[in-house]
Amino acid sequence: MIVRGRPATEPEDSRAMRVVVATAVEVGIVAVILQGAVDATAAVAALLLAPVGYAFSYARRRRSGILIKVILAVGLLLALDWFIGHVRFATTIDQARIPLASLFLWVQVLHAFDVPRRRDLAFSMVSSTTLIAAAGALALTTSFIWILAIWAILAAGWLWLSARPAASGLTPAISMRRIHAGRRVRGYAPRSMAFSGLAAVVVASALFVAMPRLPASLIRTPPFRLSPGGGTPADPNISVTNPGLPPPGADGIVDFAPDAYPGFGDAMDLRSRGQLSDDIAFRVRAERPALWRAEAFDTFDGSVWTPSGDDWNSLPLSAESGSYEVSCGGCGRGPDSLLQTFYIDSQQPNLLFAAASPQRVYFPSGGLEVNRDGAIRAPILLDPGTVYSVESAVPTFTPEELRFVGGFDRTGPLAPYLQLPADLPERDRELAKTITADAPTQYDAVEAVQTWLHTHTAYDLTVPREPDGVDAVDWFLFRTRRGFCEHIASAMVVLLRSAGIPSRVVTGYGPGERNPFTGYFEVRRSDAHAWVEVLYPGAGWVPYDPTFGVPAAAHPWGSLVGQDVIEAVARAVRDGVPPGLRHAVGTSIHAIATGVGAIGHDWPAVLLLTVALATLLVLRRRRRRRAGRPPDEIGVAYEDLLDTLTAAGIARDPARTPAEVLHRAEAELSLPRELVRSASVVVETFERARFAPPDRRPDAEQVARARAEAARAATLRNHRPAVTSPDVPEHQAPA
Amino acid sequence: MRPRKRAGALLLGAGVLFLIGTSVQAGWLFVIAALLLGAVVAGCLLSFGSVRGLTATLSAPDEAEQGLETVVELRLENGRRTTRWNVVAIDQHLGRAESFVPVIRGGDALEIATLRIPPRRGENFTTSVELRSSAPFGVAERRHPVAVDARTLVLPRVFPLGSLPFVEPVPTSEPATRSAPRRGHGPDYLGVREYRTGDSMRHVHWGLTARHGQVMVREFEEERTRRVAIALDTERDRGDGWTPLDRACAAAASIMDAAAAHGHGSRVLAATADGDVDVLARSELREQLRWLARVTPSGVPLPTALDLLGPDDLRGVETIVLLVPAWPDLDTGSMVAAAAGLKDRIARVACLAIAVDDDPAGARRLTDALDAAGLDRRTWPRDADLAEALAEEVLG
Repeated sequence: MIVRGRPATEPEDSRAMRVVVATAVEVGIVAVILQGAVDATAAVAALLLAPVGYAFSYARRRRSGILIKVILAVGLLLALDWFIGHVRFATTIDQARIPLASLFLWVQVLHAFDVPRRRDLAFSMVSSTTLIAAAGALALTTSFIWILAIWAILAAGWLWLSARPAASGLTPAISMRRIHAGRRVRGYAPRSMAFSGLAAVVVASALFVAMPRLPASLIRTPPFRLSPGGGTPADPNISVTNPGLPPPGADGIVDFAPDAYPGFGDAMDLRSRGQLSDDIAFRVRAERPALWRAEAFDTFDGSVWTPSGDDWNSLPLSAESGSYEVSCGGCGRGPDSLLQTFYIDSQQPNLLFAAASPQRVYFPSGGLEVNRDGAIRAPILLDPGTVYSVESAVPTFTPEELRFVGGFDRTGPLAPYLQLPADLPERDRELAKTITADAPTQYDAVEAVQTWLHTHTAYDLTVPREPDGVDAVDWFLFRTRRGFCEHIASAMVVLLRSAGIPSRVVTGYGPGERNPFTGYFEVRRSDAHAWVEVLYPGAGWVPYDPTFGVPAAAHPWGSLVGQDVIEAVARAVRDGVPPGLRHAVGTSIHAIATGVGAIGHDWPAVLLLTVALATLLVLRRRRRRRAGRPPDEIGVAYEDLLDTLTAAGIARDPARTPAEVLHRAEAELSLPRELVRSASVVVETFERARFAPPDRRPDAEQVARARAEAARAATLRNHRPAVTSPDVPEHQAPA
Repeated sequence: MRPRKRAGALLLGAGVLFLIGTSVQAGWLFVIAALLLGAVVAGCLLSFGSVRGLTATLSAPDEAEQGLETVVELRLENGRRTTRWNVVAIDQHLGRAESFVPVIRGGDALEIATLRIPPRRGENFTTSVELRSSAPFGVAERRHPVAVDARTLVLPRVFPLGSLPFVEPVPTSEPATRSAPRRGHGPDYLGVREYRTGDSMRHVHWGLTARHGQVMVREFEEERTRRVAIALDTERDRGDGWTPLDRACAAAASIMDAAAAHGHGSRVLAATADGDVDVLARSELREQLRWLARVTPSGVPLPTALDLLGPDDLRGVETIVLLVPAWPDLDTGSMVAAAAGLKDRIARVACLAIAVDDDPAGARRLTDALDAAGLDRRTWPRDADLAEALAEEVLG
């Protein structure tokens, strides 16, 4: 006969488990609220009612819940009705996002009132995981890690507690007692839990680093557009409003400001100098990196690039999709679609940044315009909190495809892209001819120019301004060979145009660094960049980055082994560790590496030495274990006292307690009374040290006194007291 | 190490999060997926040590009674320095038991006592206890058998019967009694004889003493101990617990217990697997119970076994009780004939038909046959009280 306990659907009585689950759900709700994904009413209601629901479930876990289920079903219907009412007229997922999240919260609150069993609590944990995941998908910064860490600890706690078997399948014990206690270890429970948690975190970290980052395939993020308010209006009197740009200096040159890049404006001056800050300009959600293009310049006068035309055309707004359709002759088109969503972090000019060849723009304001070169401007500045999406047709061509394009008429509309300064020195044209002499096709010529620039020039932010009156490109190519990305890009365009290849300079931002935790590309102000676009007949404008060598053709498939994770971690360590410590660690590692190399030559001796050392350590440890705990001060004092008493004729008895030892000494009349008093001090201090609660144990001074008393007892050992007895005349008593 | 459903659920969750994270390029979803995977991997790896270093000892009484609660003590000892969590010890001694120990610290020894109800009589040998733990995260379970040595002989259940209706003093007029009187201290007067040392002075016959000039004492007949024999039909058995043979042994044990309580002697006999008949006579009740505990199916029908009995096997027996499981295909004719044949040798023959689960009508067939033969029969249905069943007297 099987002795069974309660049936399988027994309610869960563990209060600890319920508290953990309820807290995990609460953390999930807070996480979603912090990302602004729900409306205020749902947020407050969920925060307050969810814990109430879990407490209610615990109190009523053993009662039939038919009435409760009916009430909850009615509540669910009401929530569904509310949700449908809010999304009935929504035309995009963006408009349904918050009501959907609120509905999920309401479902979670209702569910909290009916979780009697362990599997119901497991479902609650699944819900909390969903909430955390939803919040994580919306989180823009790495500060999300704090709330994730709290949730992870609670989830681990639930895993730990629910690993216990359910009581229904167990045989109830009539008694359970400890018949032998092992070594006392403080905090064994937290230590076990911490060890398990640490193991899980270590494994998770390794898996996270190794996790492949693949392109999106099944689901794509929908486009978003959000505006923090009305938006700061741009200056209608100028083509591009770039807030934060300083006014021109006495020499008429607009230099860099920490928060403003001079390349975003009506002109790009190669004489501008300065440095940009590392503040985050914006974050981009995209499945792969790209150069975030702002505008193009086609006319060069030897120092300044300007656009040849100032014709801006309004972009039509599609009523169906709510997006702006971009079509311009100079935009180009590629076969690969890339959806990017930009989350503006610090104020930007009224230019929209996007990957090459934008086709569709989702922007939270009307009045977008595009020019001939594909720059898109808005009537408002990009204020912090602005969110917009762009769908681009990124040019991705193989070298073979670019090699076999046809020719085209290099006059007419292409003339601006072949323009060169009238006073360009002849040596620049000669240099272009020399570089491209062996290039059979336009593609090869472009590659040759880019390769030459890589080999013969260097990126340098400290290069001084060129003298007045000189051609900046000529100065760069024949004097300094060092410069900003603007110089390198300008040199490439000049060389290509000298070789008869239409090209233009483009400004924008570099791809930025992908944050491995959020998945966003974090683009900083210092990522402002200039590169080149080359026109290929039949293919359109193809971007080239001569500064960092971004290839024109194929786009990266995606990091298969989390390379960006490793790089991000290394970057964080590099930036976070002080230079002095970094240097010290680096030096130490170098020294170790050198030592290891030297050791490698004499590995047999090293191996022998290692084995000998290990053996010595093991033996020493065994000896120590056999010897027991090394005696402390008070232990030494007690041992000394026992030695004294043994010498005085009171034999050691291991079975005797310290109190019994003292009693024996007191009963021994032949012992000096002062010795007995010293023994009393030693025994009393010893007992308190060994058996008293921590707050009653002797301090160092008392232990020192006990040692002194033990030493005194040793000196008193040979001093026999005068034995006095009523029967023995005093004068006959021994001395 | 066996993965549990939870591991599959966590892996599925991690996969879904990875898929969504890839699609929406949300790095935090990769982190959560990695955490779920980390819990699975770490949980599986750590589970290898979840029961390591644990030893078990099972302590059970040497003898127990079928159907009655018995305390079994399981001692678990952690020989390692690290703590073990959520340990379940499963053993099959005297019934399956799953004992849960939430924590065993390093060096600790715990003793867990549980109540078992032995389902079957006979020898219970338990040689291993299985220790299981799915700590720390419940994603994988480690199972480890530990050797133990526990032995318990489960004796048949003894039901209190009170009086034995078919074991009653046989009148002295009965030929079986008068033919062989024995001297003793009973109430019946047997004769006089000379005084022997040790005789009680109360029994001195003073009249004859005066007449004969020597002390003469009265002699009485020994009060006859009614001896009952119990014959078990051990031809076959079927089922997992409280089988018909178990019930027959319990009936035998109960009858012997009641007989001993009333000062009657008893002997029990049953066929063995080697075709012989084992007779246990002149033993203490405990020894008889142990004998009954070891009775196993023999394949020999009871009529055949009765034919194998020798002349001394039933000497002095006044009542014989036949304990017969009423199998559907029981040869009732042979049984009735065997029972009727015993009546020539033994004063009283009673038959207890033990109903078999799947054929309640089988008992009726047997009892009808016994009734037709005019034999004393009782019926013991499945859930009926044995004392009530024996008290019902139906004579043909």
